Amino acid sequence: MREGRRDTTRAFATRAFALYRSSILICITALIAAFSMLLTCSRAAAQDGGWELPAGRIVHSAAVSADGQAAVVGSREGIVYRLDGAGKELWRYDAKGTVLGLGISQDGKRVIAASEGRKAIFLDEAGKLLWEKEYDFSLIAAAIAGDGNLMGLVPRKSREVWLLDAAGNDVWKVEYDSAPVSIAISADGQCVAIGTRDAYVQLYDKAGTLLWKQQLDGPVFSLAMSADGAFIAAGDESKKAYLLKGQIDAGAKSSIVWTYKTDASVQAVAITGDGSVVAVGSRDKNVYLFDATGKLTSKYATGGSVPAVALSADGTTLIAGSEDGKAYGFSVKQSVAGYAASQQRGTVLAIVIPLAMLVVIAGSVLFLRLNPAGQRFWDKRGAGLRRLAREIWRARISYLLIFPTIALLFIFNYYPAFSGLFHSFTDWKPGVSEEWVGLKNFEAVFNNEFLRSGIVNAIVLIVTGYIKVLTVPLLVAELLFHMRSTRMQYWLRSLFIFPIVVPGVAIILIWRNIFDPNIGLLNNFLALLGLMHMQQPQAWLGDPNTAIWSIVFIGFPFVGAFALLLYYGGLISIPVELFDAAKVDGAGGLRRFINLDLPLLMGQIKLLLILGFIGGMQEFSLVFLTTEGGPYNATYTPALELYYQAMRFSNFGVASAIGTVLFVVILGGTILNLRMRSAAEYQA
Amino acid sequence: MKQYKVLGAALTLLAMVSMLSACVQPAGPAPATQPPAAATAIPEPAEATATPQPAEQPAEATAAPATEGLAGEVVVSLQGEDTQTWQALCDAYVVKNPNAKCQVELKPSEGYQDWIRTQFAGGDPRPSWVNGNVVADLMNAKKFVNLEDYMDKPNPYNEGKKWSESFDQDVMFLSRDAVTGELYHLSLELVKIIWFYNKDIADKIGMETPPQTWDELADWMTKAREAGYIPFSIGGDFQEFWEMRMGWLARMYQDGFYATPEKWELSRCQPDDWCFEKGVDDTFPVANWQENRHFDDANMVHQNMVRWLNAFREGKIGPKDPEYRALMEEFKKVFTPENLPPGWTGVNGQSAYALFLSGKALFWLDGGWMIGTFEKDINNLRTGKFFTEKEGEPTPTPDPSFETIKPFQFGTFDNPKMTAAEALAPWQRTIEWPVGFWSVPKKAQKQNDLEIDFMMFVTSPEGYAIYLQNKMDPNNPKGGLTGPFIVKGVEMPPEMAAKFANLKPIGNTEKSTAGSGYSRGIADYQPMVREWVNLAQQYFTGKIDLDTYIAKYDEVLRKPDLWEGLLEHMKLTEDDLQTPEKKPPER
Repeated sequence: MREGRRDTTRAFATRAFALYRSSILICITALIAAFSMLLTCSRAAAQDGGWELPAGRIVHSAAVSADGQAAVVGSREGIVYRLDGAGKELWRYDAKGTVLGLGISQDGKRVIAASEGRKAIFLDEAGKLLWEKEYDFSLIAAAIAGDGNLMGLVPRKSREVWLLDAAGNDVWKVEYDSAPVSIAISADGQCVAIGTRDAYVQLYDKAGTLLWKQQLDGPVFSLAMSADGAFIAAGDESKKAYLLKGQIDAGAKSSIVWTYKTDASVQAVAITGDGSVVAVGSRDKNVYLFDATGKLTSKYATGGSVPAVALSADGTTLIAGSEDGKAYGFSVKQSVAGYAASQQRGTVLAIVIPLAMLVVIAGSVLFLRLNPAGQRFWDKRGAGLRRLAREIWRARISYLLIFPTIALLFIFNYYPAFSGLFHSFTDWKPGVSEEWVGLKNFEAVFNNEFLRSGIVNAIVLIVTGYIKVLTVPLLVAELLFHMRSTRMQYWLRSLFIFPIVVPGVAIILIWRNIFDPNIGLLNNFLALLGLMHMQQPQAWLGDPNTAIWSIVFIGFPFVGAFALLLYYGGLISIPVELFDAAKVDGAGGLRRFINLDLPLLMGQIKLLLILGFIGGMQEFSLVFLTTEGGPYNATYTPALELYYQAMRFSNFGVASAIGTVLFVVILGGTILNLRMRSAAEYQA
Repeated sequence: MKQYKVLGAALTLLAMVSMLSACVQPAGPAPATQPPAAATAIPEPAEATATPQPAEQPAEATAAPATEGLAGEVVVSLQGEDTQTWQALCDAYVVKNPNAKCQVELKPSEGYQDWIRTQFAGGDPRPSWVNGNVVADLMNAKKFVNLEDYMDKPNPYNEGKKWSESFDQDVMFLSRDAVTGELYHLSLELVKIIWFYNKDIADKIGMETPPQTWDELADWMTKAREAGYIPFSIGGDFQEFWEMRMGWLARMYQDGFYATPEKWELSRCQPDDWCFEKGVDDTFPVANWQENRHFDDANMVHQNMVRWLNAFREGKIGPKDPEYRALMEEFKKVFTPENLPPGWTGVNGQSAYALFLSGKALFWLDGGWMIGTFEKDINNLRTGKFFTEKEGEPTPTPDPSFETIKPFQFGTFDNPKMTAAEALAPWQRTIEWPVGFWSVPKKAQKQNDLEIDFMMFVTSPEGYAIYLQNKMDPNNPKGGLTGPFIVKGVEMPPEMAAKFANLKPIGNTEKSTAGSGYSRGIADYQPMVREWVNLAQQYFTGKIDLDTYIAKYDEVLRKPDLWEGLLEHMKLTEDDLQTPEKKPPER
């Protein structure tokens, strides 16, 4: 019976192990598949069936006919390109000025171009000039009705918008108290929408009567209207795209149907004839497609910001112009399908990966619990872990109480440090931009001549700092320690320590005045002694030969209270028996100091050397408050350069890189210092 | 059995998680089956604020109704400590706009730049008003409201007149972008750099009228030196070159050599340029331009900085010009060790000021804002009080010899003109700039509208009167004006009018002719400014001669890495330099 049970158990364990092995294989397969899919589905399949056309440096404008078989794009070089449905160039026209606005009639037979060269240009389907009109202002936007009989122009630096007929004659104009920036005309020519910098969309009828106005959240950079004006697509500077109703329902508080926030300002919008599809081009380099409910149906990344999008009225064709110099053409249907497929893949991955991880975990647990080898493994290796878990649980209150401190430490100490490390690889302007640049900042750091001279000064400060900290405070500590009168010892010790409460900045500023050539204490004192001519006083901080040494001199007579306290504490912790033994052996003062005090103060000395190294490499306030690095960069330090890069040049990435380099140097130096023999070793 | 139960439970959990995952949809906008709960805007159906007419009958703009009922919170977070003035304005504003709240949360200047950056880094900034000038890169990145968008809107607190009519536009142009007219800060008090002199010393040496030319200035310095005084008390340390008086002199005096139509041809907008404006650029220069110190202001000619950069790169303008050489030679007439405080390079601005206040020096250079504080400073110095209370600045220990100081009369005069043959401009202008730098961080449009509405109130006759009253209140220790203001419809108190009588505008040098040219680096690009500071200190202290200075300065301005950084700073690329007629893309 027992054997039977054992056989059953063994069989189960074998099956479980087999299950575990298979699950491992499945997981590995799933993970490989998942990563493969991740690699391939990083872009939406919108490019399937599309085309790209290089068109100069930047494609600023685009328009497409109702059936999508005729398109025009306008470039920075001032060229209007006419393309067929497959993106093949049919002709080009030189507008002699960046083409910032384009419109095409529904049948594709008429094209209006607005040029930065102050011209409005009207072309036929063969590219022949029908008329050209010159203005006093650059033109930044254009629109045309479906039949080509009404068109609108928006000039730069003017408060007006002009509506013209097919012959280029003025029909009406409107003036605003805030600059207009965008215009759209419905295909049926019945409605005109105008966007202004004060965030308003204003809708007019074809005669120019204002119907309504709606405020958005930022200057309205782009507008588009459905064929009958029932819907208006808008994009503004606050990164939002909107769909508005052309006719506001009675009692409705807003004409906004939906909004969508992109990652940067929206530069271009387009809409199909029935308003069922909206296209958005953004400075975040993406082209977005939405359905009538505002659901994102496609997203495509180009190589630059997207100042132009156009949709055919029948919803088949999408044209986009990018700052990467290309015009892109997509099939809307394929783009939507491709994006949906990629989203599905993403969803599947979102299930598969956690599932795979769960299976691995379950399999591991099964293996550890059921398999003898696994059980042995758990018993042997897991003992420490279990013990730790038990200890933590036992002291859970203590851990809970210390948790806030650790959390704050992470937030205010470790997070900024890691943030600095990360940002040293970026071109970082807080609140503005952050772009990965790799090692470029470090290149700039190592080629920085100010930093190089700063390192020399840092070495000077470190070495002189070592001298200052290893001499006078130690001498004073020895003298205090060996004083006979405990009362005097107490008072003198206190007097030496009191200055520690004076802020370092105050001390530096006082010294700055001491060094003043005319009213400073030092020169006046020297003049009193006959050692200085006040007609030609020494500019201690203004002479490159003396500036850095004057900075070093700050703090004279260098009785650092912190070092003094450390030494004194070290001395009083030396066992008295050792002193007695030294006396018995006939050791005099100097011999005792060299053979007894110094070795037993090694711990303190090591600490001061480490702190001195760190302080010297990071020295900033001393230089900034006295010379700011001058004269002639004679007193630059690495930390000062870090400050200038961040606060004066706004190169926070380079400043972070300097910080990272300093961290590495300080860490290396600290490790080297730590290798010194400690007092404990001496005692042993 | 127990293990089966565990396994079963785990599998069940797994299945539930899978089902939940399948329900996750990619993030997207809310479906618009109904209008959003919070309307983002309230339309004004069928209400024409501007009725367009056929082209034959241009539309007439009608005034917008008074803005009552604006809601939200205005937070004033400027630098400084004058809470009294701003609180008075806030209190008056909320009386007119009961639905609005107004908080005064002024900030110290120490760390102010960091604080502003933190506001932007954290998303939509909360403060309504800040001093945008301290974060020039954020201003360049258009993180602040372009006030120009509001300038033609009616000011409901000024009888519905256009807001622009509240200001002296000639001065306001100094704050605008010279080409696009964009305006990212409101600065209402005009300051200019002027020379001060000790009238007692002047009397002693026979200087009855202030010098009009640079040579006269040098002559009087010689006489002052012979009489045992320090001729010109000015600091010579790093800060004085980088940020203060030495830098100002460099920025001002180059203008006298470059402010001519011929030099402007190198950089002004040409007829085919995007920035060329008919009615402005096609009439430049005006006839008898020599009689008009404002002949090249931003409303008289537009500059194409890309053309300027190309001209510089091609060597058509630069440190090797004979004009620049002549300028530096002229400077050397004044900047000799004998004319400057002893130990000059070790003298900072405050020590130099102390020398002037203590009656030891003849000339001092500073801003017109000093006029109001000068008398107070002399008295404080004489009585041994710390004479500067500016926050964050050190207060030097008074010299005991200051006890014998006698207050003295001081006079002021404008920049004396360099008369070298190459100084072709018929006058010498100065740094003349409105200050205040009230900027509004961009956020939701409605909120910005409220914040600009508060600005309209402050700059209305009623609002500015409250501002002045509190600034001039003798019981307000943090008050005081820095200069004449450009707000119309408000009268300057007589005592201040007398003090500022000498501060008439004489023309501004903060143009590419000097200040934003290559006087200290190019376009004030700070890494280049640092290089200039280094070289200028060496030149003025005699460490290097003029030829070496010119050669090195020219070399520095053309260093590839600095040039690349300069273009990035100006948001330009090499491609943009190839097409100066086109507007550089927004970056």
